[in-house]
Amino acid sequence: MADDFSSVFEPPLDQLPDIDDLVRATMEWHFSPLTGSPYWVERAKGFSFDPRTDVQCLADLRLFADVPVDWSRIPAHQLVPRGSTPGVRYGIYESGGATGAPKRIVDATSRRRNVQWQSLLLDEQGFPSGEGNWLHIGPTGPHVMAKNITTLSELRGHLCYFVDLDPRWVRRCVAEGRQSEFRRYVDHILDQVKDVLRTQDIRGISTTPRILESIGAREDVYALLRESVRGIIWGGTSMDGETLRLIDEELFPQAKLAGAYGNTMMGVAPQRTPRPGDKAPCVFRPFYPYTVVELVDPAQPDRIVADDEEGRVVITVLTRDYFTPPTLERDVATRRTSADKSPGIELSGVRPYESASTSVVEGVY
Amino acid sequence: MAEAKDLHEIPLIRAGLPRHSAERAELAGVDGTLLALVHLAPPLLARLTVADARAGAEHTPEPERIAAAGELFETATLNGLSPQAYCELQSRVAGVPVAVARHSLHDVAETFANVGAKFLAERPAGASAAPVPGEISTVWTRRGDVLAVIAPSNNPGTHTQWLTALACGYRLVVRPGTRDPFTPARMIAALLDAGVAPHYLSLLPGSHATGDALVEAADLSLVFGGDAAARRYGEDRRVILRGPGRSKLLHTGEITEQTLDVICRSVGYDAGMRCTNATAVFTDADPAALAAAVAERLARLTPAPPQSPDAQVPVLPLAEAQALRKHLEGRLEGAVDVAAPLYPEGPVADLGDGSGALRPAVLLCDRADHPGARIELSFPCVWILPWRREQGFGPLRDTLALTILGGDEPLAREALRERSIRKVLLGPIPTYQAGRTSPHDGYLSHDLMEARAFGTSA
Repeated sequence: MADDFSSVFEPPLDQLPDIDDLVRATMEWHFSPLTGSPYWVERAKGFSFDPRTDVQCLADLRLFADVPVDWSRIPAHQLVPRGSTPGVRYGIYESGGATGAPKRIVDATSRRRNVQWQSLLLDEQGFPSGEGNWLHIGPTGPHVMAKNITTLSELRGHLCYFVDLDPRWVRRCVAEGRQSEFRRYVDHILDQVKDVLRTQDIRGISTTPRILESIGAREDVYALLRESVRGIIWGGTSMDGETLRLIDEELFPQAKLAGAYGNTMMGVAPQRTPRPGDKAPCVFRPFYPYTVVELVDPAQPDRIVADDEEGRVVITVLTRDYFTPPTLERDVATRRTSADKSPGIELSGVRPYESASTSVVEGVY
Repeated sequence: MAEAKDLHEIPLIRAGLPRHSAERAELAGVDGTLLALVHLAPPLLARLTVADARAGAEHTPEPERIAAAGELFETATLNGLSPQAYCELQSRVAGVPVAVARHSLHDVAETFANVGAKFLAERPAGASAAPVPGEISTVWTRRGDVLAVIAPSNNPGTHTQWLTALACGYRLVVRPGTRDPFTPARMIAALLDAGVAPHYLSLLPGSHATGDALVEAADLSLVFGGDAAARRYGEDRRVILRGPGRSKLLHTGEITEQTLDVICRSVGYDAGMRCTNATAVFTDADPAALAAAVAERLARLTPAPPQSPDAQVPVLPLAEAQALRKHLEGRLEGAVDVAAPLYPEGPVADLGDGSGALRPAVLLCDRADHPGARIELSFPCVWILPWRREQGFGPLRDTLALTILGGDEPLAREALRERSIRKVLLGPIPTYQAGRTSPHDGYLSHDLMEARAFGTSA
């Protein structure tokens, strides 16, 4: 849509806006009774500040520190901005529920821009495009990952096949210690993957590290994929450096690998093109300024960590479709200096945060 | 932050070949000094390593070769560590008194030397002859090819169990315990130096997830672990579980010097960190008198840094040692620690370097079914319970090693009828004593091997 905000929300991807301009536009758009979402306009009535006047820059967003948002309980239709163009279709997307009940966001066009930007980075890395078809093995349905992959394969000239994976069921099996049930489910998925690989020309896949590993353990599926695959995008969960190296060098030596860190709430932070001298094999670059990632000291959340230090992820999302004030996430990561003077930080070594605690073990063996 | 170059580096071993990993962990001594850098294997590497182990040709090592490796373990410089340097590292990180590591050098070497005799002793007589053409006879064969070992860190001696599997012809993939990668690393280095085929030996330090992947990929697994491991793997019929020892003594009659001597050695030998150390003593004498006498003797065990030759009890980082004692306090259910008053500075001796030594605990219980008899902790910690002949062996269930003091042969025979008592010793024999080929928890080889028929025409 073209309006006064377009130059900030939808400029060409090589002309990204100033962060403070974007903050002000976001406040105006989401909190104005004319354009804002019913949810934010209603909530703002109880604030001790006025977002449209008191928030002028990124740092001012700390005013939202006392505004808890429970994304899992908001009637999601109330998140759709009133100012959106009639006829623009919004979708509702849900998180996998790793930290409790699923969170919901709405999206019309913002995520597409994020994926277009991801695609530019893939081109820069020489990631294959155009030849053959794509296969996504992962969450579909309510999860935004399928929408992103649909967009990405369309942009890169592939037809896209899907094998659905229900992450909530997987999580439940694992939490309840139902290992055999989990394995049976993975085999069920791999049987479907095998069918696609046997009958269709698949050159690229997107999936989770766990599924990649499971494929490695299933000789029949692995032999087919190793033969045909030239590009692999992995994401959804973290992967340690050694596993990444083994997948890259041993399992799929003929495929180009690209990571994508992200989730429903923050969008996609693709792997940026490796540089000589990188301190990590895979460095992620958030879609700044629309997604701002900060890393803070887990013990002291008001302290932002230094380069090469590990911290807990804090995200802020500033788009036309939805606004997320600074939110502490469950992941930890290592902060890295941005390459190419790109604004915003970069990060590596993402993994789930576990508070350090050791329990006493009984028994001597 | 110690310089990486000062740290002893432990590469992972993938089918006999040392490999570096992008994932590493620093190992500190119990006093917090960084001492070693361990290369970690992710779950995927567990699967790939099992595949490598499987791929190589059949090459079961001869007992003589394993015996030669034992000599290297005891005397050679391996992985850049002399025997003494290995003992010091192992004791400082695991918190086991260095004297334990030192005598284990020889004990482990003896196990290596004994592996052939043990294999023959455990093999059924019917499978002993080579098959003759024209006869249908019995062969003693493996149930699989690759054995995963999820090893503990409490005592170097525990690792000698998996040697049996090597003699049976299994290819081994060992995931060491977090605090003692040194012992299996040294054993594997000795075996490789002695010429054991590389794909028969792998060492993969790593997380629980790595262990899970390993158990999933291997044919059989030997898992050392407690109730958590039992919950994790209890359903898996391919897993041989070596759970808590919960070893005990049953004492009847007079309390003599000899009684006290055997009890205290059973509790405190090797710093009380073995599965065959006694966890409980059942007595038909006065439990309070027995507990007081045992406490008074055990209190003489010397708390000192693990690398000191005087050390006789385990040492942990101070906070961990205190947490362990706190855990014990929460599990007393009316039992009284009669040793505690003997330590004016408290049951954890603060060694002043950030570590704490765990002084013995002697817990007096008022009934034979007190839950304490099942609570086994990795330091000299013994529960004293009253027992009457008519109560039988019900209260003594789930016992790896049982010594009966003051009893007679019929009582010992009765103990043998309780299947969950895995070893019965009658007379003043400490619980940890074993014969050259006596079973530890049954014969491991019987879980690894089976008799099958084989015949060829004349």
